[in-house]
Amino acid sequence: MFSLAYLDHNASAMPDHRAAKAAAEWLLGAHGNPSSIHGAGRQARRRVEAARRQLAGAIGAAPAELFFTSGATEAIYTAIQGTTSPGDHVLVSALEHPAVWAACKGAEVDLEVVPCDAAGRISPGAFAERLRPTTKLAVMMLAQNEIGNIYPVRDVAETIGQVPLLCDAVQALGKMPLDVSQLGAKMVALSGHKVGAPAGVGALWCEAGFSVGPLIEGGGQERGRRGGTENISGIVGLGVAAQNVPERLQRAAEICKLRDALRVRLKSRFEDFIEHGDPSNRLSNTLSFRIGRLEGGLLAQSLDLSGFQVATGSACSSGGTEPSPVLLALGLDKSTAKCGLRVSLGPETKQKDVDGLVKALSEAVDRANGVYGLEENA
Amino acid sequence: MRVVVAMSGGVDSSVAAALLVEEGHEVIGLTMKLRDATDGERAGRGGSCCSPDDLMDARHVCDALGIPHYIIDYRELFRTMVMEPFAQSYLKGETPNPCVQCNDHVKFVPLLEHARALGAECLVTGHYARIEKQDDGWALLAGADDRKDQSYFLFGLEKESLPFVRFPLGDLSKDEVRDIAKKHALPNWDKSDSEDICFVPGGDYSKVVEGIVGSENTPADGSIVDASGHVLGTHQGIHKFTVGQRRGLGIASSERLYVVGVNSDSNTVEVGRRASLDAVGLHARDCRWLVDEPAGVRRCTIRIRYRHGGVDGNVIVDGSRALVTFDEPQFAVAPGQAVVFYDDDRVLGGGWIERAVSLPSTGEHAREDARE
Repeated sequence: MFSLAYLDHNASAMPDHRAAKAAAEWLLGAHGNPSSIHGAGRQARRRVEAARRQLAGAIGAAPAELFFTSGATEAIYTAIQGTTSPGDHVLVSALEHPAVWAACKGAEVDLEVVPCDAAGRISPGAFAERLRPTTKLAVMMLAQNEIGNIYPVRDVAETIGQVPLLCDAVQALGKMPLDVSQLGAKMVALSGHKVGAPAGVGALWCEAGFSVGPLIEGGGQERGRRGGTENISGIVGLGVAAQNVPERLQRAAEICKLRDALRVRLKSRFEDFIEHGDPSNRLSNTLSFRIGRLEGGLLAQSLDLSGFQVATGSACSSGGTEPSPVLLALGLDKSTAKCGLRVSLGPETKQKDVDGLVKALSEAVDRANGVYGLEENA
Repeated sequence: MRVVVAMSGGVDSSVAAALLVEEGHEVIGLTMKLRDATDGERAGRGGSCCSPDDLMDARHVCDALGIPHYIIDYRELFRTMVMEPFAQSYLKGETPNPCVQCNDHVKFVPLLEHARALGAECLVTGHYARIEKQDDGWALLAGADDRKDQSYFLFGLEKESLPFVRFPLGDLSKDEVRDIAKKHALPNWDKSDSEDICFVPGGDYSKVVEGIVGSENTPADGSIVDASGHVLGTHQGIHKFTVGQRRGLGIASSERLYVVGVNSDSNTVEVGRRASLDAVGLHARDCRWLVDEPAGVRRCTIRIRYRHGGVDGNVIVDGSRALVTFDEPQFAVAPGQAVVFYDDDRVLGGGWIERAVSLPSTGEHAREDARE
């Protein structure tokens, strides 16, 4: 029996046990619809509002500026479809999450991509160049999920002036300081399971006074911004997880050391180790890379069989492995993009996990090179 | 040992996996994604194979067996090596055999390499065939169940690959396989078999061909002619016809007419009486051998299509080509199909049918002269 090392925290964090416990306590001990007038309803309402305060506190917001959703995808859809009409000009950075592309497609906007350079950097100037008098919305994420790059959201917001900015802060929360009052964005999307809350809950923050049409009106919950009975256990979990964000941030420096050490060892072990992204400005836990021409999928499978759980550079849905649009946006061709691997560490990661990963990857690479007749790495 | 099982989501490959797990090996399930799902398949209407439901079935079986399951994306490879040649073959007036192409270019090379790169000592599939070590080396044999034997599709396996491939169902009958599935309580034990080509759900070949080549390259309407070139009717595209076909001709005739030939140069479909479809042999190209390449005349049993019982005859090898003669005339030898040579139940090798050698008769000779 070997031990498992989970090194895919950007896909989903390991559970925050206190958050899970709080969610379970609600499920096992209480009930009620927050909209009901009676005691049970008021109890449910109290829990939801307590969670709202906890999340608001974690991101520098006022509670009333937040409403809960089923996750960041829904938050992003709400933000985009609630602020645009078909045909509106929207500027979107080249490295946004698929939810942004899909939401824009659904909203039938006139989407213009703001390109990045080969290291995945995007400048405020690139937004400025493309700005039109009619531009309705701009989208710039704070931290990139695959390559880890961190973006100058505040500078972009200043550059685009009156045009509202949607910021996807899904990867940023818990990994780097996040203060929405200083970000310059009008809307910020957040996700629960990236910080150890249950999956299936997220939130959209909107600057006070900035109105966003609801995606789902339903019964008018969340002050008319998001219909449907609230996912109380998820929200309770999110609140506690948000409250624990400062603890996560305290671990960031240590995680950074582990990640940097991993990088050094991979570079020295594999001659054709190539990193993706901007090492000088990225999340402390993320490492996106490739090794020669070996397919990321093959290496990830090999690693999984040895107990090391990482991601490839591709988005997987229904089994197809499309080359990652992010790696393609960096300028890699399709077959090179399929070589991508992403390792993302978390507060639970230990030195031995990193040591073991290097060893397991070595074996996987040597074996693959043997089969494909490629030259051995020195 | 570590083994990889190629899982389609069907009963056969699932039982193959179960048997290897029972033997105590470290089994890994791998499913190839060969094509995108159709809208119908996404909505849950059964496809023929490799639909999202099939991928989920494979995953479900692996979960039940407690083994890891991965999906590899071979869509591009499958398109270039199987689907496009399939379509081009029809455009040339031939009747292709894509399952052989898939075995040759997808399953038993890239997938086998992937399996070995994962550290597996062999690739296991649910084919009804057998691999054995015999005195003169590794041999490929027909499966024990005549009705399900799939060795015909496997003639192109490279001899060097045979030690790395296992067919655990080779000695079993289909009924026995289903019993094993039931015994192991596999989630898909009573799933019906897919009989169609995996990317031709419902068997509408011509529609799939049109989808692959596009409307601008779809064969045009043309004439249906007899041996002397008289026009008897019109057809809506040569890709809708195959040698030996009786239906879909739309010609009123006092006698039963069959497709005798499909000619892409003249865009015609030639029809004739059944007798004109009896061939005494055939010319084959691109032949390969799992035994030492025969010298001189080699006696063997010959199969000219999947559901062919086999006919005894001779094969004379000439480089990568072969001249094959049958002891008895055979009906509807179709260019583009695989011809596979057996010694009893052992696969000697095979190739691709280029053209039939017809019974000598004045009519036939006149036709051939007219063509040349």
